[in-house]
Amino acid sequence: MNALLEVKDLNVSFQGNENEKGNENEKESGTAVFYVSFSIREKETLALVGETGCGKSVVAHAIMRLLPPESRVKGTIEFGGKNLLELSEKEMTKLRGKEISIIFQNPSLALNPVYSIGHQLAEPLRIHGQEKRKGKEWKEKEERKEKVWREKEEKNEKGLKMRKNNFSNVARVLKRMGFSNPHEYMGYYPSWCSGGMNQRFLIAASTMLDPVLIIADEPSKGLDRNRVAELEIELKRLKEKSETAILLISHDLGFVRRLADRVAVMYAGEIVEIADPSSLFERPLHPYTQGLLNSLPERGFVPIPGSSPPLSSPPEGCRFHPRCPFKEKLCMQEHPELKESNGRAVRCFLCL
Amino acid sequence: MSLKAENLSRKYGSGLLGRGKCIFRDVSFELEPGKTFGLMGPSGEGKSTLGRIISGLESPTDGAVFFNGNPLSRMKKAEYTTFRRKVQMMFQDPTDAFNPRKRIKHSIFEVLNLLEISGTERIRCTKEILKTTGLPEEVLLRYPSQLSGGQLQRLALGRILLLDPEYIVLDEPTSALDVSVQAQILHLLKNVQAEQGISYLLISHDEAVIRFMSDSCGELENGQMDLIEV
Amino acid sequence: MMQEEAYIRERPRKWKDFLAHNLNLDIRKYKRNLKKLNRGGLFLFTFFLILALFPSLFAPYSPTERFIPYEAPSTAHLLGTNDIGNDILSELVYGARISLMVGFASASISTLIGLMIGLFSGYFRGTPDELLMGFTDVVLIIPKIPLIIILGAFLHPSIWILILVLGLLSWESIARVVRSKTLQIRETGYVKSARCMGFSSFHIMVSDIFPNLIHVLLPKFMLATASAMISEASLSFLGLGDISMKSWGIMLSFAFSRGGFIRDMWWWYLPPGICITLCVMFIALMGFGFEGREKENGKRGVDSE
Ligand code: SF4
Repeated sequence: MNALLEVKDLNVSFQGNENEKGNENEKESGTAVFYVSFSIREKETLALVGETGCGKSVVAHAIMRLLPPESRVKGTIEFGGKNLLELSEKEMTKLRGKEISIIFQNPSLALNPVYSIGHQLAEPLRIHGQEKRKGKEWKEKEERKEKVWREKEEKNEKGLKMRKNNFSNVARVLKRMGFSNPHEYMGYYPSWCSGGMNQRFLIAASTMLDPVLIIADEPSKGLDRNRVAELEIELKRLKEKSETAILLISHDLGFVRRLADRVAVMYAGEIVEIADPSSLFERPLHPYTQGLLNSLPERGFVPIPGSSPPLSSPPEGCRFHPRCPFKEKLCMQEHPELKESNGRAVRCFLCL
Repeated sequence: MSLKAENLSRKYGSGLLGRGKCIFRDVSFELEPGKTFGLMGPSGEGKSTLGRIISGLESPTDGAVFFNGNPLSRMKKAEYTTFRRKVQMMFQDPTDAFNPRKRIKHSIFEVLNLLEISGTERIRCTKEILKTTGLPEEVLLRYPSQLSGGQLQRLALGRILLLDPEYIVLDEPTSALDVSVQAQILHLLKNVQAEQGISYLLISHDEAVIRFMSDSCGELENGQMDLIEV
Repeated sequence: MMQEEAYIRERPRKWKDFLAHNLNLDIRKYKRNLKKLNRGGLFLFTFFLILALFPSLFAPYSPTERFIPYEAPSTAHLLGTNDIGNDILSELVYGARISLMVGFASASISTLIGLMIGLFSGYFRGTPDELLMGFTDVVLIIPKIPLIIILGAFLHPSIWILILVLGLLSWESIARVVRSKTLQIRETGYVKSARCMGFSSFHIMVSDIFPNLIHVLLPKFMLATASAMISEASLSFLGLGDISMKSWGIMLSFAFSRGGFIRDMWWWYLPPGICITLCVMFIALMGFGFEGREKENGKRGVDSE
């Protein structure tokens, strides 16, 4: 299978804002993502796990080009033969939603309470539908549109047709998400539905245009146990029914284990291990992955000593060495590379 | 010392319009010295409200909290002051546990001022906190926004320990933290309990956390509390 | 010809398109400009402030010194003289002090009152909140300018009365903003834990809530200053100002009533008008700048997870 998204040597650094006080500079400047490379194949679910501040969300935002202006991005992000980092804002806007879409964190905030579900779900169709028409003979179509505007009846008819079309699309997608009578739900407002239902609507919205890649940025954060389980079912359904690849960003290891096809573990801005979930969770190679798994409830909350280093001044050599139980002299001097062998990659001198 | 809740009920919206909705009713339990009582249940069931009632930040619609046998609502001033010292609360979100406009040092000194501790004693106390919580001295000079969630939660615990409390209400102390940090904080809480014999009321939606920490536990569901074997 | 037409017709659309697609970018640019404006406002405002604090350094003569009346601008009198022979430039420089003083003094009064009322009702909620907010609504509907006209008619028109009335009647919006912000801060972890640790309400209000209100108060204070200056100018122009303290508004009023307009002496009526406009503009710009920065900070707070 060929790679759908290829991230190569992605480097993101933030500069302190010049207007800020000195002490805030300290926190903001620094490299958040350090030579991260990975690829997502078609229909694959890649999970990016790691702790707060390890840079996993920054990677997602870099792919969507949603980083704040003070950031500097280097490297390449190849998607369907194009380098996303070089596209103009306009081209990117077209890509967003249509080919790459994103599932946001909080379902109750992402839906607008004053519009009905059907209206909101049809919105991406409307916008991107317009763009399609604009694309080729923009001016011509525009003129025709003006004519249409003048002739009221015609307009009504056409508008109705378009809307009908959109709504039947919405219904189709809702049905795919497991709603038995979608037409009823389309008239609902977000406040009438439970959080779990809204979550499903959101997922439906992001799959509306059949994107080839979905980025889910911490979808399980701040949700209840039951809601996480529901979300998991939805995402599973999504994986089965549609042909999309998913980039799943999460700190919830159990959630990741059940959903992902491959897992990349990040620590202090680097990928330290990539493996398939079963071998990663059963036989973790990198000491950090081991420590992370040991601090899970199932294994008795055994913590890793110390805390993650600040991004502005990562330690010399292996970035994990101050906390690593197996460290050797070499670890403190040299920075290990990500080495690959039989489908797994690890960044550690002692493994492989 | 004892801290006991008897037949606590709480209604929402029971103002002039009446028609209040009951969040929970007839909740009773007692915190045993040096032990942890776990309280779990889905969110929105009023666990946090219950915690705030126990620590005296809110008042129940019915029932009472008894501290040393006296109900909270009818306490004399001196008694209330000891209650305020001996019963503390720790909150879920470490990022707003400290005033963002003050350096950590000032937030801690403020508490010491309240206790009328000054001079060399003040420095000794501060150092002691850092030792128990395992933090380097430089955090004192930082602003809260420059520290990580785990560090802030440790500091929040340290600041509470200054007051030498007997009871701490832990309101989801680790649910905003990463797994590895969560493990660290839970161990820290256990160590502190072993050393100082504090009793905890641990509120969490995570069953694994409750099972790991508690000696006895209850589940709040549909407005009722059931005791559960651990 | 045809092409040209199409070009003209398309242009607005393209421009709109550009806006829509680069919305982020545009907002960013706008913000950057705002920052620049803020800095510029600060700089020029400082100039006015220095003028007000040390008028004797800038004014060529004393404002009460008399020369030949109705003189046109010359090297001796850069802005000419007025009806009783005072040097207009000197008057202008000395007027800065009075205009600014009225603005700042009344804004201080109103900010202080607004802060206290807002803080109180936000922190204690319940009955005190309802009473205070009811009172605020009552004050809100008192018409300011007519009241001052009546007071001016009955009392001896004095700058102090003006300051007092302007200050006492314009704190409602500040109180409301402070109240809503206080309600928010009250629910944060640090206020709750401070209450838990037994700090007094007064201590919490002063040391935990107030520092987090400053960045809301500052822009409000600036805008209150600007609006007080405008009110002062308009009242003075109506002849309700204090003649013994020659502010810019009173200068305008004299220029109007003593023949400045009729004789077309632009050097008499134009400078004070320009000064008022610029000064108010700079202060407002500074206020907007502070507000903008606060919004950015707020956003970053949400994002930085
Ligand atoms: S390279 Fe050395 S320090 Fe780094 S993880 Fe491996 S053993 Fe530990």
